[in-house]
Amino acid sequence: MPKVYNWQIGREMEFPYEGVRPKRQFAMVMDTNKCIACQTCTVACKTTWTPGRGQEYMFWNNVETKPYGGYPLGWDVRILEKLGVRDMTGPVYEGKTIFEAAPDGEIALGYIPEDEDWAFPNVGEDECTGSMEQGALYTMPHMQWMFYLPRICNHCTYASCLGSCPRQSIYKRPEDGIVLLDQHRCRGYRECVKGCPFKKTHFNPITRVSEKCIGCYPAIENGRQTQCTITCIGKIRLQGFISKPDEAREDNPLDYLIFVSKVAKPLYPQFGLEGNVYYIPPIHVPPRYLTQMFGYGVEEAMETYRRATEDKKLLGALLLFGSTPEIIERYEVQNDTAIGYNKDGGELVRVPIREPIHVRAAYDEQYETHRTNIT
Amino acid sequence: MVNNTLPRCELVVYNDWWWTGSCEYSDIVYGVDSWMEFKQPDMTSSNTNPFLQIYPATPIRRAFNTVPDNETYLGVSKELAKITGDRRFEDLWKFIEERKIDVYLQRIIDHSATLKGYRFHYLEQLAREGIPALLNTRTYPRVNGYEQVHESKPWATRTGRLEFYRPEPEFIEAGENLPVHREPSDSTFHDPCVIVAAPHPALRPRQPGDWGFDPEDRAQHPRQMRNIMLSVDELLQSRHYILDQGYDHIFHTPKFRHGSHTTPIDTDYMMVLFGPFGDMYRRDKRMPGTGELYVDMHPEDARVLEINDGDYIWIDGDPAYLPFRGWNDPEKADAYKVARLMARARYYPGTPRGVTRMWFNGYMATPGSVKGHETREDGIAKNPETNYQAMFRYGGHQSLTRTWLKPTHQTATLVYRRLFTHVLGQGFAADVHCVTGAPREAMAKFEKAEHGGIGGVGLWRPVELGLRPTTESEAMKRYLAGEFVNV
Amino acid sequence: MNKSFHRRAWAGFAVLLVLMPGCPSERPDPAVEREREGIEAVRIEGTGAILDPGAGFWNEAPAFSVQLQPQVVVDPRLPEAAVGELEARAVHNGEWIGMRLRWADETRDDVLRTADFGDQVAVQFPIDPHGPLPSAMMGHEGAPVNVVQWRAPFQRDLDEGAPDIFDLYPYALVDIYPDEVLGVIDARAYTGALGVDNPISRPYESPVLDQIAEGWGSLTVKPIQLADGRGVWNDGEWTVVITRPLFPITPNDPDLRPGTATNAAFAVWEGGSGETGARKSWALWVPLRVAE
Repeated sequence: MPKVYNWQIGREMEFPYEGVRPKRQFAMVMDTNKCIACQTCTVACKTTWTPGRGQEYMFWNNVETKPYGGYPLGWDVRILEKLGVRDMTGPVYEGKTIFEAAPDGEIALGYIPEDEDWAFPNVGEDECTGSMEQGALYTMPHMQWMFYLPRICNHCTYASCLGSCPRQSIYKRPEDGIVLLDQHRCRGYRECVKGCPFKKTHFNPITRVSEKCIGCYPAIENGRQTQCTITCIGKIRLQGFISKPDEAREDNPLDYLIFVSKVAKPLYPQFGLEGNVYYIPPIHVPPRYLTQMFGYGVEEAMETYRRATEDKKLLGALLLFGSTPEIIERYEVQNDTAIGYNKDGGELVRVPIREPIHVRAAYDEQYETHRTNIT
Repeated sequence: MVNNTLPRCELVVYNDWWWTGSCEYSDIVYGVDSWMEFKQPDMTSSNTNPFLQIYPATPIRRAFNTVPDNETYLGVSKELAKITGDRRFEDLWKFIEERKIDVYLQRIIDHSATLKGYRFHYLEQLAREGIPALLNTRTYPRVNGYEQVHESKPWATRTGRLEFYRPEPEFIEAGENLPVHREPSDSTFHDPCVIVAAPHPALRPRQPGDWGFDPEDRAQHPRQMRNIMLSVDELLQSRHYILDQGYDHIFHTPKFRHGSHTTPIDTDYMMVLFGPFGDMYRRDKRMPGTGELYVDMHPEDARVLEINDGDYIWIDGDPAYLPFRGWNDPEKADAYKVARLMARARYYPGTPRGVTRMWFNGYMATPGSVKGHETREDGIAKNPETNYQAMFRYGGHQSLTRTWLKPTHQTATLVYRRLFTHVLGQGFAADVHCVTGAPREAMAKFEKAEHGGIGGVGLWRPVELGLRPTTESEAMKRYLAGEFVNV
Repeated sequence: MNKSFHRRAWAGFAVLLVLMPGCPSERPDPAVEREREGIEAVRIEGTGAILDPGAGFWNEAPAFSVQLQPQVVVDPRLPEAAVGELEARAVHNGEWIGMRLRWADETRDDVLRTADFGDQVAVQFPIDPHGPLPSAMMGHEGAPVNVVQWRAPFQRDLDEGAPDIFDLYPYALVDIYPDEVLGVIDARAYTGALGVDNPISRPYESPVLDQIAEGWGSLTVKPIQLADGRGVWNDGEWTVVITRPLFPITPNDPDLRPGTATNAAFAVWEGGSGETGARKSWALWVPLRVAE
């Protein structure tokens, strides 16, 4: 197998194809500290892309409660169990990726979920670990904890669905790195369903081929962020483009969050896919669990996030989440205002670093009315 | 409500834009436009949020042959005017007849302290572009008590001060003239609804002797007038009378998880996400829809009752009046079948022992939905006549919960600020004095009804797989501890 | 992505050759002799496609036992294939050739769900019977092969109608589909592979796909479908007829005219064992003689 460089594990690794990075790479950052699992993203995606026949069970975007939730059932427990216990003790991951751990005859370590595993998409909702003692006080990290993990396709740099397909029906677009599944070429073998450790390809039993998240490419092509991003009422998402690891730009908000402040971490980097959806880890959850999920450096990310008010560039990038439906290609912080620009340099949005306080006159002379705070 | 109240109503008329349980029990239902279909603008606001919601008229075509909701009021009023000869019925809605809703809304704006100065047409234009309007409150963000704290302005009370003593006779009678703790009306392991306070000369509530009823009478209505005072120790030693009859779990129905007021949650996509039991393919045909309501129970409580995670269970409340008065009349057997609550049990470690929870807002079973559930080939709890979709196989929240009408919520003497004004009023005002208590609490007994596995065979699949709280597989335990990595 | 790919399993190729049926052995064995002779397509009366798996004329054709091996040359693969043997008989009527394939399969797998695969069988012919023999493993560049593949789910579609979601999940609850409110054109976006006429979504008129391949991963459904067939499952056994015209009609049709000595290769997929795509059992080239 060819060798490719995966920056998330800090080393070269095996992949079925030569590593050619796209010109631009679709990416997203989600702040798990802000997600309330209202499922608005899920329903926005569902009604936009998968209301058709055979798509009933599909949620290209889903939100699951961690640790007890999982769509399909137990997806990460199962692949972690197959991969075994691995060291996560430094920036270079020395354990095996799913490509390197592939059993004889397989391209990647994987499994096909049972049909019934796709039921109960919101299993585990709101469930916390363990029982709370009477009169207990929470300390950090919380003794009993849970958080919400919103998930879409990670549009991986080294996509396992793509690598697993014997027909090359799955391809990565050179212009934006979105991973697409050719609906005409696919023959429904489900090697991608087996090979994707995130279980983000889905078999359509009516069309008899597989389908997956398309990264809302018609929106992306028009400079607009994805449906799941712009409908998020909690403003937990920022979608745009990530630079190549050696070309990170401080004025790209995604680069700043991922490469500069390192507050956003990849999902299960040990799988070796170099996914392009990043998460700001929940700061109340035990670091070991989070290291298992987001890789090395989680504790530093949590600490940086806690101190975000000390770094105006970081705070500015965080405040641009959900501030505009357009893709922010560049940003800056000027006079306590974060300003986002589109690719032509046009200003998209201004967000104050601090919410301004306005105090009106108690009696409005012009309109002859009292302005009260209680309606 | 369904079995004890509605039969005594001559006529139930309802208007809605979604076929709800209320429609199921109405004699007449007017189908009205949803917010998306408004052909005339509208406006609303709530007393606690900073936004003014404007509903612009839309070009979206109506899904059904509906009318604006206020035209239903106009139509009924016109007929009442004809019958009674009193033109005021009709005149009240004249602005609707004349399609001058914008003028009427402008008038509201002009007389509202926080809105005055806005032009309605301008706000509607903004709304059409998706730009919200804020209330012009004293400060932004809205800081309650700002004037009082920063400018020593009086509070909107009788004395202008924050009042911690209520001299009104209703409050003295209720023993709530001083800040006291009142035990929950029903959801407690101790004597319900009692006042918990040390003796104090100012506390002299009217009690059963004063009213002339038995002090031991804790039925739903007298309970709220007992006003028995206990010390903390006495309270902790007391027991809710119903515990010994086996109704020994607190049953709470807090607000919503995946919906809000008047938001339909019985659509396929909403139901499937409403909790852990959703399945678009309904591999288990017992499910009422693509999802269903459930009770969160502490795993240890459930185990004592031999209830597994995911089992269907019966949930019963005080048989004196639940699910309805007269439920054990053999002639009411059909009504009882519809009313007795059944739902899934979920092992939920986040609730204390003895305390259970079911989210509010699940669409209740009705005679039609039960008929659908029992006669349709696919078992869907959908009324064959109306398409009303229930989220329960049997029963609903009202099988267990009742509104508790707190006397101090029904006074007509308080001083208050008139809504959206800077003017003080006194006496009755709907927003202040009408009881708004929603049914949220009960004591419940649980009993296993059916196994959780598909078709009632075996365990619910996530339990089988070892993915559930307290029944974790070895892999799941390792996962929870983060032990798939060495750090 | 660079399209040149390196699959580690190429190393398995040499091993496979040793296992191949038809390899020379030291002492002549009658069974081996028969295998060497291959399959003879005997002449029968009649015209048009040969479709009836139960017809009496099959008894006129000698039964040939095809020994199958798991595909282990390329990843992904299965270490053990479920089907080890196939009985093949061939006939022709001067216009069409028919091959009847029969194998034991305890489960009839003709419904596709997320984790359910369908039974399939395929016959492969060199396009040019006179040129160099293409790689038996789906041909090679410059040496294409014709792969005619019968699919159990297609057979079911034709016998019982294509399934809707309620055939697959009888209690499913769906409020509305886009095609119920939008016109055909606007709803097309929600029809996936059906909307782009993916040939494996539904059978055209036949349960058999007429295809061409020039190596791994290149299998392509031909624009004009000439092959036909019919399969029945009975008592733990599939009996499937695959038929196609003897003479080339469209570009890249195999030449099987009477008197031709060519080859045929076979593949079987046992859906119940999760066999799909490269996960199959197969037999490499077997001589095929089309009687005059």
